[in-house]
Amino acid sequence: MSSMARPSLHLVTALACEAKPLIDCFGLRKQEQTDYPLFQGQLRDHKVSLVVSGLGAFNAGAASAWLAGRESALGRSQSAVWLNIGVAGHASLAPGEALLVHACRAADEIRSYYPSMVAKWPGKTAALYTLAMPSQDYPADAMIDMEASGYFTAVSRFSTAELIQSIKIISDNQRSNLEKLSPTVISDLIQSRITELCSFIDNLLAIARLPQPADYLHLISHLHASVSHRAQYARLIEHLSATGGLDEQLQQALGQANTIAEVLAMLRERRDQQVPVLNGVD
Amino acid sequence: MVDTIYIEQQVREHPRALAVMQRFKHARVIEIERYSEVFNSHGQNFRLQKQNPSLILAHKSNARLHSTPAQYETGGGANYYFSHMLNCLYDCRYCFLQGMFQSANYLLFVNFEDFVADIASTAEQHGHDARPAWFFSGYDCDSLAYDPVTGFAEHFLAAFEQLPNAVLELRTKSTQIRSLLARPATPNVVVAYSLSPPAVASELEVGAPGFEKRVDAIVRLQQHGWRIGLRFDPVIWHADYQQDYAGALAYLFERVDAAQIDSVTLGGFRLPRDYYKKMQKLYPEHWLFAAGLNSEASQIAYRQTLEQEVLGAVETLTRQYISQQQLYVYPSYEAGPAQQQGVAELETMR
Ligand code: SF4
Repeated sequence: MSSMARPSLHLVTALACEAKPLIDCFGLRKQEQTDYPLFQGQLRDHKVSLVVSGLGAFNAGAASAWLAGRESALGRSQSAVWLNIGVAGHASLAPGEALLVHACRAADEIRSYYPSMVAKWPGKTAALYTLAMPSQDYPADAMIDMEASGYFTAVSRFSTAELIQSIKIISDNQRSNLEKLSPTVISDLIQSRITELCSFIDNLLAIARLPQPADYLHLISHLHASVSHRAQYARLIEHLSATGGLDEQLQQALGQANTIAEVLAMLRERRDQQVPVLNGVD
Repeated sequence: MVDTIYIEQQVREHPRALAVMQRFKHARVIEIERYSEVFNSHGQNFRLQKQNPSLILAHKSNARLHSTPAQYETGGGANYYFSHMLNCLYDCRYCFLQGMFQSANYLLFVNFEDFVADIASTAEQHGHDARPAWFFSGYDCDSLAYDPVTGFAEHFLAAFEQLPNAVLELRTKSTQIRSLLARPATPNVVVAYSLSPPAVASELEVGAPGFEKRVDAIVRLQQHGWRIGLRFDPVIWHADYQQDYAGALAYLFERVDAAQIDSVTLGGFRLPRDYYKKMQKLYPEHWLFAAGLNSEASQIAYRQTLEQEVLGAVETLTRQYISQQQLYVYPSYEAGPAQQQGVAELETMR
């Protein structure tokens, strides 16, 4: 039968000091010999990976793509939840405020990326401009950072817009001094919002449950089957799994079949016999 | 409850947009340039988004009116459809909108006046036709489900009162009929109710009012003088389908005046191939996208013999209450033998 995937959680930060409160919170362990600093662990039954990308949109995109590729090679990328967490500047908001990004645009681009606002976030949201250089020239209506546009561009190739989000903690504004932003101050800013961050992560993981296709390839592992046969087999299995026709008896018979043609014939026959029964539950 | 509203800059001050925003005072409002930036962008998942859709308020600048596919004609004259809104409050598992749109967000075009102007000028072009031109609403949304928010019915009913050679058909499953009961019935408006037996409705028509509630609404509208259409489309094949449809029809026609029914339509479950592919990917675990289907017809539909059997049975049941002239049946197949290659194609379709 199909089952619901347990989505994994991918966190992306630019700086080690942004990552530290998250590493502590989820008890992540540093992985050895990786291209980017990578920390992994478990949040209930979800695998958690945190990558530290370094500064700039290019690095954020490259590190995110690297993580996506690595997890996909391990067969764990399906319906992954992605969250970029970092600090940002804003003209007037007070340091420490946490905002969900509702639109993001690189300073040199015309099009914005709109993360899909499905998971509940009770706090404020704001647009974000990603700049190439640090700046204290704050726009009136948006936050500024140096990474998010690269992150969104890269990750949108690997997951779906509802599950790709970014939260920024305000670190500086028109009245503050950028030079006072030490790693400790940044870690403290993130730490001060860890409860909201964790609760948003829970909300994201809760909406991310997507069905995993039924996998019964082991039943025909003893048979020679072309790519096309396998595709037909997978499809028929999916159909029968959906209509409840994949019982023990059939599975046993499949395991004893001598050829893939025999298997497909059995599945087709069963498919054509299946009549859907309403159970009153969707 | 909507918690995010995207609004195009150009409709920011539109009275209808302001009224909608007034209803959702606590929603976050995000300004956008064009609705397509949000609605059409790739990489969205309809199923995930349906858990908490946002509302997009926009201006429809062109292509407000479309000709209907030639097959779908209950009025006999020229036929057009229009959509003041894309997507629906309900979540019917068979709904083709899941296959058609990237996004499950509700997209509301607030410039009703432009829709009405297009309808009026098109109706005028058909001024000398023997039969009135029909304008269908509810292809890409439910016509009435969002009516308390949009004020759609009030605006369009008033407009059609001035267009005697045009007929408006409102396709709906909604019981939001207050605005219709608050005014005299308009003779050139048909309220067309989509119906399924209670067991089908409760399993597949997620979020829509139950069968009995819809029948109550039909009875009230009919008593108020509104013309009523009944749509069993799609007819859903399942183990007890004959009993279920027989029971639903008996319940329905005990309450409504069959002689006064404008038309009844029956159609098999069918989908364009691309939509089917997308929907099956969204719900691989759902029996609806597996049971009895193949691609013998020009679209994905029940196997020809099965569709004939199912539509035939429900047609026979319906004919106990309804005359031949009132009944329209829409099979998915041109007359002719089934093509076997369709079965294999469905198996390899990804
Ligand atoms: S009521 Fe109609 S438009 Fe709405 S989800 Fe159901 S089939 Fe789709």
